[in-house]
Amino acid sequence: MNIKINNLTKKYGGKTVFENYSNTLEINGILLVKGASGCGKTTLMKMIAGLESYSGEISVPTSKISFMFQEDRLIPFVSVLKNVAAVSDIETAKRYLCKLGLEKEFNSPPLSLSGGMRRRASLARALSYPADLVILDEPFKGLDEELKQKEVEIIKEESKARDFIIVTHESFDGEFDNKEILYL
Amino acid sequence: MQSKLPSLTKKILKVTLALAFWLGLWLILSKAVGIELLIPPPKSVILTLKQMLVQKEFYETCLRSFLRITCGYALGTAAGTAIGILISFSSVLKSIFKPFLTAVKTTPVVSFIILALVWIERDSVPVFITILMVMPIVASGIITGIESADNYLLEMASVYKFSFGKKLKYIYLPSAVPSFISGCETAIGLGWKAGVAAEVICMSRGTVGKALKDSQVYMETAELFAWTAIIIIISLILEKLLAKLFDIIFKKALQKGGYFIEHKNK
Repeated sequence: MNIKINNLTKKYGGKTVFENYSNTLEINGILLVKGASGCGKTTLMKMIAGLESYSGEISVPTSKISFMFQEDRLIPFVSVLKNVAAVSDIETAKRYLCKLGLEKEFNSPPLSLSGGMRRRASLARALSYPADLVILDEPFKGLDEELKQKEVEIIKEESKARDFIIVTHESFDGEFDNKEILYL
Repeated sequence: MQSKLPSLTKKILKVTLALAFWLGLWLILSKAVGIELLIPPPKSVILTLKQMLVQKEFYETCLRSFLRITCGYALGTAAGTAIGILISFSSVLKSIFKPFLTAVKTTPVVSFIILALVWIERDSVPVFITILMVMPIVASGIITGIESADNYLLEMASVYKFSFGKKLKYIYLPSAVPSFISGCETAIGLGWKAGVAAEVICMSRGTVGKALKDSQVYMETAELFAWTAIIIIISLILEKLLAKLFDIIFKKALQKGGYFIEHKNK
């Protein structure tokens, strides 16, 4: 999948985040997006997902986009399973929650989970949504090494069927094969 | 139980002390004034109350007022809920109904009672007034709750292309529940007081308001005090009773719907 960005300009108040930025993001499975804090990684992802206004042109060849936010954004009023099933169906939701080791937390309220568990529930939701492009913003934040590796494996497996953009501060030396890296 | 007992004793002591203080003050005032017609002593009022409590008519009067005002309350809550939801999602309806709700909230209740006396039959006025008083409070509760829905969740819902029904189910309604319940609870006392005021002004037959008015007309001050005490007691019971009822109904409904919502106002 290629995402074409042409003359993109984005300003926040008085601050210019992007000015006439043009690029083509070639995604063949996984694209890692890296850059200093505040350089506009999340803003660019939100513009790609159609969540932010901008001037210029962004051409995304699909409208089926899934987005895992930096914040967990789980609905606090319903169970973990219902949160995930809200974007897919019960069976798919159960499958991804099990993959991510949350099989005992189906009926738990999101606020009762640890930060790492909530992160995984949020990832399960993003993966269970039937999207062609999955954007993950800092998916490994707050996870220990073992869980991070588990997530990497799941994402690698999933990237065989659809494309991923992963915004991350982590360094992945050889964890992702055939990855592209975009430095902002 | 053991750890609760001292705090319960403390509470009882505090209430007894407050009650003794006000009864004492009342007694001193009535003695100072010296005219029973102006301020009857507590003993006369308690005796009148005792006499009232053994009469069948007293219970019929209370029940009649209770049923009418509760009916107005139920209708007002239903109307307030519908208007609150409609206003929250339609800017056109908001511009139409917001001034109406503000006008209802700020206009003295007596103006509406007099107007209602012109428009509708006397016995229906208390119901109409209760609806009018309850509706804006409940609607405001719903509007506040829906407006306070988390923007982060709404952005998430937009990514995952939630339908309006799904947004309502997962985000808006759960967000509105606490302030809706709070609005309903506030409206109980207010609706009851406004309903009785309407009964007084329109002399609605066989009601608490009419009894109150009669005791004023016949200068039965002890009875006037006794009826006032009854109004306060019924108001308190209603508030506690309905608050408890809401607690049970919503707790069950939320549990059945699989929601985790802190619905009790603390």
